[in-house]
Amino acid sequence: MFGIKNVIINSLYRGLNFTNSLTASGLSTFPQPLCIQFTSVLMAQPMKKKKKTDPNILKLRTERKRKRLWKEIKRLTKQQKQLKPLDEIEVPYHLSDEPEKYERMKPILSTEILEERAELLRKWSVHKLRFHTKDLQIIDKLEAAQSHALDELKKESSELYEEAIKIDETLLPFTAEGPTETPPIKNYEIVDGEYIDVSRKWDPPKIPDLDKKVKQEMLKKIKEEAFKSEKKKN
Amino acid sequence: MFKNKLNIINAVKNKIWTRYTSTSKVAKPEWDLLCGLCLERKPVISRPLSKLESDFKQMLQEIEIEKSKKSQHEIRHEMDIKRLEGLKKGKLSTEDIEKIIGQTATEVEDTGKKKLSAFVSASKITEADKENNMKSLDRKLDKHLLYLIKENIGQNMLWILPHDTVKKTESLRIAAERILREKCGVNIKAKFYGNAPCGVYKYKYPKIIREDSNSKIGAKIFFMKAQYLNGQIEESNIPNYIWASREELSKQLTHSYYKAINLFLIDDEYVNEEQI
Repeated sequence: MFGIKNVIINSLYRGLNFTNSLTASGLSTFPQPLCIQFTSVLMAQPMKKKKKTDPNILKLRTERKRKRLWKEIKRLTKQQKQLKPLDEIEVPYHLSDEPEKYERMKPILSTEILEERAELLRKWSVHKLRFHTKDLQIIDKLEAAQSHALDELKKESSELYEEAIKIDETLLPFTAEGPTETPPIKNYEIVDGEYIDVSRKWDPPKIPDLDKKVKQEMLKKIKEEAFKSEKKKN
Repeated sequence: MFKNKLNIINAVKNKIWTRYTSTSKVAKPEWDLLCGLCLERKPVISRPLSKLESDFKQMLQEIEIEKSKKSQHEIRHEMDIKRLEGLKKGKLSTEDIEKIIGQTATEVEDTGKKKLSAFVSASKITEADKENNMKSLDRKLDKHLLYLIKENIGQNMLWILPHDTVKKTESLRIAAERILREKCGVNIKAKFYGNAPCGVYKYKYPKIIREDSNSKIGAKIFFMKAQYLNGQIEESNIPNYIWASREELSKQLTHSYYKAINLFLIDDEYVNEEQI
């Protein structure tokens, strides 16, 4: 009912197009007051019927979107965890294929040899312990000498002391070479030409920037919306 | 009573005053401050192994081989032997004959050995060692060397580490860098181990000098450690210098000086196997 009424009024209003524009602004060329007055609300066009989608379907859609994103994130995080493969650790194929072929006969060692080895091991551990304690002693000695020197310096001149305890930033990074087994040969020319590093290089898998993707999607949406609103205006 | 108390207070005041003035006198430096340079060349090659060490090394190698798998080269060698036996017996497939024509494992090994024997590594004992050239940096490659110069101290010519007075505007580090330039030459490049001195040597001046009221009691030499990197000493400017090993230090330096210096030096490794 209401819909029909609306249409009637609408047609009326269209017929009185000229007067309408004046009545809207409160002006009238009629000498008498108008019997029917149109308000701006009644001038509105009927609303377009909005497409109603099932809320369940909408829910499903958003769910699907979320799932897809989750999957992508999972895939990317998995890729991130991939480690550099170590060729040296991997057992070569020929060893895993036929292991018996490469088995070495274990020699039967006499008790004498075993005892000799045990004795050598004992001597070795004593020897290494001595070296270690000697190292510690030397470190102690150096430390004591330095702190003594600093104390003496503090007594004489506080300025020099302040300078001395400053951190030397040029010291790091510190690299040291050697000692080698034999000394370097002077003016040695490499026989086989240049040294070429043939070790394979490992490039970690390229991970697309997640944030970038999200940003792109956002941009797309914003553009679409702007486009729609422009269309509406036109 | 009251007067007495005042007297005591005055006495205490006087005491504090005298102590105060006396401490201000002590605060004046009575020692000359010197900076010494401890320029060291680190060992270039490793020291020879002792008997115990080489024995142990051999044992480890034996165990290593016992535990290992056969290499492909060894397998190839075994196959070669089998084929040879087959050749003698006359049982050979055409495939085997084709393989015999190629290089055998022993041949490959021999060519490798030849190549290795053709290479001669540099000798561990250099010409400087043979001539006992103390000025060369090529001597005693497996030991620490310390830079010494001969200077007139008092009335004696003594071997010492290069040193000089610290100028008023200088820190110890800057003074040490200057000494390196002056007493070793511009060509020497060295790495200093930080800004702090590694050790100190105190000595008193002889009594005749000390009796002069203006003179100071003695000198303190603060040593800055540096590692030799590269370059040569300017021999034209510095006639009297040596690169001394640890053993030579004890011979060349005076006893008290050596004792002070030795406190901040890393000893050379040595193995005393009789104790084990």
